[in-house]
Amino acid sequence: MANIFGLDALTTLALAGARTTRIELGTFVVPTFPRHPFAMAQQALTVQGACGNRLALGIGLSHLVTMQDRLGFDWDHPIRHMREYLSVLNPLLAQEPATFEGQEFRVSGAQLGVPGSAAPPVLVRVYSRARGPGHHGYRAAGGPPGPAHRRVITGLRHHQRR
Amino acid sequence: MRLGLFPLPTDATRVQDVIADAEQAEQLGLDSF
Repeated sequence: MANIFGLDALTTLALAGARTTRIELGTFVVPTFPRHPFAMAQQALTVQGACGNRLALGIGLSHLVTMQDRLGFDWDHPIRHMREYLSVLNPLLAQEPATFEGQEFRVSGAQLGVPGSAAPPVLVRVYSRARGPGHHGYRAAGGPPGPAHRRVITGLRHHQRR
Repeated sequence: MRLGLFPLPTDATRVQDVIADAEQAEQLGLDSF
């Protein structure tokens, strides 16, 4: 499910998860800048609780125009932002203590406790400079690949051909 | 609703419509939404 200028995908998938029992539920790019990794992890684990651990969490930087020009976030170091973001997000999703001292994020002993919720697989939207402008895809950052992984990857390839 | 078409499994813009699409996707036997 998309997460751009309309519905919040994670909230919506939590509701969809409560009305379904089997199907895997995946987000496309949930932008990282507007959500501290603690908030992202907390929301994702809550969705896991609502859907019985069927979430595939897609995240990404979004775009300079949207994040910096429209929303005012600093886009000077997007790769560093994502690297540090994952350093905080991944232990929080695993419900382990997160301590990190970076230039974008600083956390000390942060931890979440959501019984029954497992860390979802995380897909990170990446850009391939080697393959030229416009080539991008998803790279799994954690958890086993599932059907939603294939769907978003296939969808992205389709999008590139358009 | 346009289930199964890429890049998005649903083009619904209202919460209740997305939920309905997810339910239908599951009923159709799709493995992800």
